[in-house]
Amino acid sequence: MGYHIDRVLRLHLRFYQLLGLHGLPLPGDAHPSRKAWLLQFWAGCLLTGFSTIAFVCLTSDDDYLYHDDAFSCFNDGMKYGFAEMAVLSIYGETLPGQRYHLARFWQLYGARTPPAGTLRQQLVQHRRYLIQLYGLVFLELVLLCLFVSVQDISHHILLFWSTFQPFVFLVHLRNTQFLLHLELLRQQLVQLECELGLLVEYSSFASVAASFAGFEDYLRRRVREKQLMYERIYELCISFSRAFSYSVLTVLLMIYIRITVDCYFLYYTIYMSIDNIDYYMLMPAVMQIPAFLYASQSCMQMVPRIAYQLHNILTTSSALSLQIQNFSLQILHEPVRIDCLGIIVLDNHLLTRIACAVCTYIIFTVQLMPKLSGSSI
Amino acid sequence: MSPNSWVIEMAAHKSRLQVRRSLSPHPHALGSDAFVRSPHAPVGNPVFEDIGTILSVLKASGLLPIYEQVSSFEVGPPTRTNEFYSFFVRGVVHALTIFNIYSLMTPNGAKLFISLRETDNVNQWIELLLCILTYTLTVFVCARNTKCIIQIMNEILKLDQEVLRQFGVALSNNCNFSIKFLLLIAACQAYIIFIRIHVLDGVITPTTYILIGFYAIQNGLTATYIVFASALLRIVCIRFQFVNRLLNGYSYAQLLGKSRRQLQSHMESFPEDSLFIYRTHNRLLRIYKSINECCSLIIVCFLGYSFYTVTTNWYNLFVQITNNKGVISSHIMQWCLAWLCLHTALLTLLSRSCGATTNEANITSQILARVYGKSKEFQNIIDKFLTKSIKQEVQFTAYGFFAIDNSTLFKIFSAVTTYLVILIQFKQLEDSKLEEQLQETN
Amino acid sequence: MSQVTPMVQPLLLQFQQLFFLSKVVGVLPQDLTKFRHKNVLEKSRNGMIYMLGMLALYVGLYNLLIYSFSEEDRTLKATQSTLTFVIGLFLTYIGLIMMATDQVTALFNQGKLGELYERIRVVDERLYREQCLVNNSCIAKRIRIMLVMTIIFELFILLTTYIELVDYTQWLSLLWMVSAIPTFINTLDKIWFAVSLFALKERFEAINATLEDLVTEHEKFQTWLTGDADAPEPHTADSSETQPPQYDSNLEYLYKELGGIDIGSLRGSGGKNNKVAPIAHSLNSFGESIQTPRKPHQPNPNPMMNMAHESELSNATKVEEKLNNLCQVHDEICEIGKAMNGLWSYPILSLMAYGFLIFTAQLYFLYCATRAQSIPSLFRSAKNPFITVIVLVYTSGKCIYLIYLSWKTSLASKRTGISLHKCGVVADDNLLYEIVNHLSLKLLNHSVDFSACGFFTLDMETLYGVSGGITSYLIILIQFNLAAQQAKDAIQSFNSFNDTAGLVGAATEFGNESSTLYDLVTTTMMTPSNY
Repeated sequence: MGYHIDRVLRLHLRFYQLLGLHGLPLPGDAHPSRKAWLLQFWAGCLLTGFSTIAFVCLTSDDDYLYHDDAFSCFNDGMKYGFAEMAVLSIYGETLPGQRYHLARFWQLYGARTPPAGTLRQQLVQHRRYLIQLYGLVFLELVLLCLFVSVQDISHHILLFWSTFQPFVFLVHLRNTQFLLHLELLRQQLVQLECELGLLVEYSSFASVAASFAGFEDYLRRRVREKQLMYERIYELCISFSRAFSYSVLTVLLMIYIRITVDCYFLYYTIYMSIDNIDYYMLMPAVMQIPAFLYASQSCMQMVPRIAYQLHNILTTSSALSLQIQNFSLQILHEPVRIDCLGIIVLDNHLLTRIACAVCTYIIFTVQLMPKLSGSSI
Repeated sequence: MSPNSWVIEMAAHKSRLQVRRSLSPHPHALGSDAFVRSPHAPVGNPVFEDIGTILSVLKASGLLPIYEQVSSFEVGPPTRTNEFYSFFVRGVVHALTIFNIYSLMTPNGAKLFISLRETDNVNQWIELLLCILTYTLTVFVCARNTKCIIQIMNEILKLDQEVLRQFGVALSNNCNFSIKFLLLIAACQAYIIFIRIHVLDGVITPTTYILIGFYAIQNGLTATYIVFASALLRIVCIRFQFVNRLLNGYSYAQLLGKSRRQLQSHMESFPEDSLFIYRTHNRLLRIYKSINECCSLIIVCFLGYSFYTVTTNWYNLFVQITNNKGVISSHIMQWCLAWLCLHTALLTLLSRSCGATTNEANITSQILARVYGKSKEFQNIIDKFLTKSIKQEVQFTAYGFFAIDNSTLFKIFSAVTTYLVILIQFKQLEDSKLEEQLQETN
Repeated sequence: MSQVTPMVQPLLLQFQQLFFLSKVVGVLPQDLTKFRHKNVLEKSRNGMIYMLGMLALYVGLYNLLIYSFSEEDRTLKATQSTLTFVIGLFLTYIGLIMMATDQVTALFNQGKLGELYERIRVVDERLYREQCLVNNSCIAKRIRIMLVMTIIFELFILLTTYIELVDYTQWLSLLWMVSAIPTFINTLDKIWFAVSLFALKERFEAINATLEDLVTEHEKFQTWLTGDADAPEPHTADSSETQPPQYDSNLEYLYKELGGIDIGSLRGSGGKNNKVAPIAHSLNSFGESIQTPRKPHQPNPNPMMNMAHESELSNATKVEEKLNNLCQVHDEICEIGKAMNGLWSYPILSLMAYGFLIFTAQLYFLYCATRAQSIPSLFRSAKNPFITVIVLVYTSGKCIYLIYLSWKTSLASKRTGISLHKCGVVADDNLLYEIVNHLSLKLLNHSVDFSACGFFTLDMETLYGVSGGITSYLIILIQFNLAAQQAKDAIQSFNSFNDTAGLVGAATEFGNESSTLYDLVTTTMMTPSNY
């Protein structure tokens, strides 16, 4: 465990440990192996708890699901089912076999970044993540309070939300954990790009003003260093996608299903003027997917810029140009591409596709509406 | 790699120089389709003999210019009279089109439709209009692209000449399929006319004959043009294949089991050949692109028309089969089958030839990656080309809307299925509503 | 190079049980005795006749099955919509079509299959010469697991359906057993494909592991060369020394660097300090770590070194040969992959079509069954949700596993380029850079894309499209089913309650809220009459 992380990160990782999401002991912990075992045990407990809730909700005759209408009942059941799937995959990834990739991520990250000095610097460094995390959590809590105070709560609403909200919290926090990792990855990429930019300035400076003996060799060694750095960043990306392979898919899927279903019921409740405002709770879920996609998109966008900077370096010697060629080929071979299990690339294009799909399904189900209510048994 | 493929045995450099005069040692045409004819075609032999029939049909209908043959490797612009003839034919076509649209508006045209139901008539109307639109567009685009077509032909011929000079092989075009398709088109159209006239009852005025006949001719000529485009693509594809085979001669597999000396002599001609290959490949790509520019608008239009026709005909067929009244109109079934047969065949032909050509064009860099260059010089030659082709995926696009290859066929048919399912469901709903109303009135 | 190296076991040695089983069932026509003795697949006329016989037998039995169970479908034709009936008819035959495709393709390919495995053997030999061994032993285990899974699934589906849903008092009901044959044969055929694909993936990974080994060895060698006592952590000092400051500091840094450039040049000429890779990890970064038993390298005649550390990468001319060979083998494996894809392209296409249709149909019929509508007799397993789930898992598992495996294989083949670049960067030698650049360009142009007849590629992105397609179709089908049902209900209610019919009809027409509620009441009241 030879790596250092700064205080802000340490605090948040502790928080994730508490939720059983981060199954690794932090550097500097006493008894790392015991701690790891303990964390795993804790994750197992949480998993059992959540699974029991889901099982009870799905099988019980009480009003956990909306039993009056077959279609609504099916949709509620589907929400629980996908939430359970997400929870299973989240805690499944804290098992030892999967944990290895996460450990590698932190090792690679911690090994090459010196922690920023003061707390202020750290806060500035991680500002994107912090804003997103606290903004989303705050929004969710405010909405929950609002909901409890305004809505007159029936038996079904009480049962449903008291059981379903923990799942929602957990999944959303997991999403912010992805955000954290992606943000770290992005920081690395930005740093690499800036350093390459500096190299470009050196080379142009040296070509117009004074060059000196050995400058080319110096530049070449610098490029090679950047190459090693890029290789490490690529490994970071790989270990990120290995560590969170299934949960990225299931978390996105759960949020997506929830949005689709609730959008329909939003329409339905407004149309039927039913006194139920629980669809406002959808807001944080709607924010989660763009936040994640934006983070991954901003990582992937860095690669062309790095390549662009690389080719801006003025070359005079063949050795340097060979090195640059090697680097650009390396970038071609190692594209930073974040996809969930190779199924789809997570960029903003996916956002439009999701929006389209949600619209299509809503149109379908809205058309179904009169017929369904007619033939429900 | 493939054991049956035709491999050019690269003779040593010196012998190759002789070969350019005496062409005997080349073991061409070993069960291959690519190099069939004798290299020294007598001058005056018409160029593009394989697609001669289709060319003459298109020339006669004014879609292609009636070019002059300058030599066996060059064609010239058409003469004054021929140009005037094409112009005249096009004018007649447009006049007929206007006449047809007019007569469709009159009650006379309404008799044409084999009326099943209101919606089916609307379908036929749309189909007719689409056909007219496609053909008119074809005529316009062809009139505009006269020079372009002649240029493409000249480029291909120049390439052939160069190949003949350098390697002593004359590339054949192997476009026999075009005649088969021509026959198929003619047969289908004749059959459709026959059924149509057979079904019509009452007095048939000459206007109706003209209407039906011209409709068939429009369909047939559009289809023929598509076949012509496919034939051009096939010709380009064969050139690409030639380049690839030439290159394949240098790949790892050919080098296995050869001694060092043999290897050296084998690779000796590589720099020269590779230069030729790169040049040819570039030229072929240019030709490919200009073919794409010439035809793509017509192809888009045709694809749309074809998609519509296939969908409506499947639907009609299904309706006829599941007709609960027990009367299956055999005429309509035959009619639908003829249409389906024609359009499916054309779609398959088009997408396959586009797919094959694109594939051949893109595979060149893969084959080159398999060439083993021992020395620096060879490696540099290879690297140059590979670098160039890294991000250069060649595609045959339908006016930039989408790429046409085998997956297009798949997409079209899945779209047809989706529409069919929806249409059929609607029809069933309609039927059950109808029954309901019947019962209510009873 | 015709010398036979007996050290390389042919891959087919692992296929003993699978071959025997597929021979008996009639999946493959090749010669059994030749396979037993020489581990080769050879053409056989008798096998062909046997296989054709089996095919005819299966087709006959299956048709008999359809015929004998079609009694129940007669009523179905009358009650159900025509679409459901036609789809049902088509779906009953698609299993048979799939099986026939498999068997006929196997017949046509009987010669080529043997060649394919021969090519894999040649590749193994070449890999062996490059001192990279492939471990085949887990393949036999894999085959066994797959076979057991298949048999469990098939038996479970067959028996539960038979016991639960078939009227087994009639002796003709024994024919139900036939319904499992097409899927079983198809699965056997796909196991061949999957395992061979897996073997290819292992070969790619062996190449990658060899390259990675070169890298780690070179790193060790360099740490040994620098001779530091604190060898385990060379990076901490090094990285803090060469670490440029934060990126927000700008041109100051440039001047500082340019001013103190003598340090840099001195570093370049003097110490090799910054050539050490900053991270000394001993872990192999592959997901599935495979053991590649590596032989010790030939002793390097370098007087400078003792036996403790030596690296091939420090000798560019020597390693060039090796890298070149590995690249060629990589190409050959890619070609084998393509050939394999070509052999199985039609079976895979039919499997994917089957998977898509059956998945959609089973879910749709499940819906129909919960609404107490009649469904085609061959899909009676849809009457029980639990059996349906098992059937869906089995069918989709087959398809998804093939897609997943081909995706993994192409990932492994792409990984080779990455490992190659690692070699280049670690060694930091101009000659080697040239070689690496050349080979990396070549590797970029090697492609293993698996596709079904060029219609669609077999990678995970296809799954996205397919799942979207299934959902849309299901919703469309269910929606229309509902509408049709309502229309039918309306007619029935017209017959029974003459007065309410008009209101219900009106309700379905307009669907405004009051009449919809009324409609709800009436339909719930009337539903018992449907049962």
